[in-house]
Amino acid sequence: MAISFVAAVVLCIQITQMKAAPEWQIAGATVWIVQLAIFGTAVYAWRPGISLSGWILGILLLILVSLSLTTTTALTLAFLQGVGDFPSAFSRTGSLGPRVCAAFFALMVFYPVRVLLPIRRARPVRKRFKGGNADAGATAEGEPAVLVVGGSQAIPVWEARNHPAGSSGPSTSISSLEFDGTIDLPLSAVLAQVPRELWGDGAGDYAPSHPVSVPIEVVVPQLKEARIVVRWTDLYEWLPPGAGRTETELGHDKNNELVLLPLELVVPQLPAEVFELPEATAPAWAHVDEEESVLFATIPAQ
Amino acid sequence: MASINYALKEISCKIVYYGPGMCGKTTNLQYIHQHTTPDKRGNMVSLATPGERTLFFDFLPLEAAHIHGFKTKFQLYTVPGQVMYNSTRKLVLRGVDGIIFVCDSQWEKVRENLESFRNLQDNLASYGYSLETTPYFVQYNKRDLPQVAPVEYLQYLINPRQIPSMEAIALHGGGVFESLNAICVRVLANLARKQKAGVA
Repeated sequence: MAISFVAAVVLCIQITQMKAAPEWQIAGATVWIVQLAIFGTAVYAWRPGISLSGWILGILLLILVSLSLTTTTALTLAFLQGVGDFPSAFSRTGSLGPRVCAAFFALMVFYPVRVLLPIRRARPVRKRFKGGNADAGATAEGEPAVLVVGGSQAIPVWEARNHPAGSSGPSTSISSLEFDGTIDLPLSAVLAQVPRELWGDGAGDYAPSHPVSVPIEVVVPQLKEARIVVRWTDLYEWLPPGAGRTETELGHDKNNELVLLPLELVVPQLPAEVFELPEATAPAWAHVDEEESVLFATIPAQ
Repeated sequence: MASINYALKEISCKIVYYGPGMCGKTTNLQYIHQHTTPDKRGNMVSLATPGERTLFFDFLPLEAAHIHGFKTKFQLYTVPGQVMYNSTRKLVLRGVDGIIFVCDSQWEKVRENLESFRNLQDNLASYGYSLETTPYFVQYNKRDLPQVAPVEYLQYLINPRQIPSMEAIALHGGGVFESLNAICVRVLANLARKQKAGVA
């Protein structure tokens, strides 16, 4: 990156030293329009689905880099050639050659950082999920635990289950399933996870239980990590109007703010098949006669 | 690793209680200590902070009934669950024969459970062990508390291979001896299997 930058500056200096041929003299406005068109196309091509604010930001960044290059070149030229005054040196960099050079290297410099620009996600089709509740199956029936203690000194056996539900479902991996629809979270619970500065002026106009519909497809892939994180730009679209601050009111960093959704409210609303596990693949050591037990001499419970 | 003394007819195995901080590992050991006859257990060694956080590890030697003529001894250890004590956890895992992974069922601890389980796998790997060859048992503790995650979800997160598991309330003894029994049986069976294969 640094080498490219230096190369660009040197190249610009070399070009500005050349006397521009009359046929290459182009009006400043035309150069700017062409430059904007190139930058705009480049940003859009590199970041498909970019949001409007991201697109404008990208173009502005490119212009900034390009101007920085041109200014550096002019300063260097003024210093090296003894032009004396900076304005005349700057005017010499305004011809087509140095401009193209600056634009080209601005694109080079900008390319790695394009991934930071925000993308506008397509609004999902809202469809209420009417499926099962994970809590309902949490206390599935199973075989009682093996009695451990020996003889008459046994403590009361606690009615534990050693095979929770979910082990007898069809062999389906979560990645092969497609989930549609949404789950509803109370607005108050969602906003509790959002920094205050992102709250909209209308956040207080809604009841705390006002539903925020979150697409299941966003939630399910994150379940394996035991936390569900969404970007503010996405969450903003699911909030009721006025509950959050618009993208244009916020800076780039705030749009990319990550918000943690309350797992305890999400998981119970998911269909039971989300948690179905594939066929058990327990290692050899796991298979023993469940009737076997190791006897520990215990004292009666108080 | 388990040691077998044929002259004394003694088998000695090391069981480690692993899990995130405050999940109930020490509580398991305390319950076992309180409910086993004094002649069949040694002193429980526990080094804890005033806040009852395990600082180094807990240790409880326990003797089980004779099995096929062999006196069977289990050394029960816990590890400090706090993230910063990883070197101690690693140390305690050296020579482990069986592991009881204690899960804190509370929603706020779900992520910590997952991180602790991954940490267990990493620490085992540093000794060349793996959960493929080391018997372990998953105990879903604190099931009596109000804000607990469904077992299906914990199972989905921690135990997708459906290794033997059980709900527990270690504070009141629910599932404590059952978990211990389940792991001890598997450790001994694994030992016998290795013996037969000429590994141990």
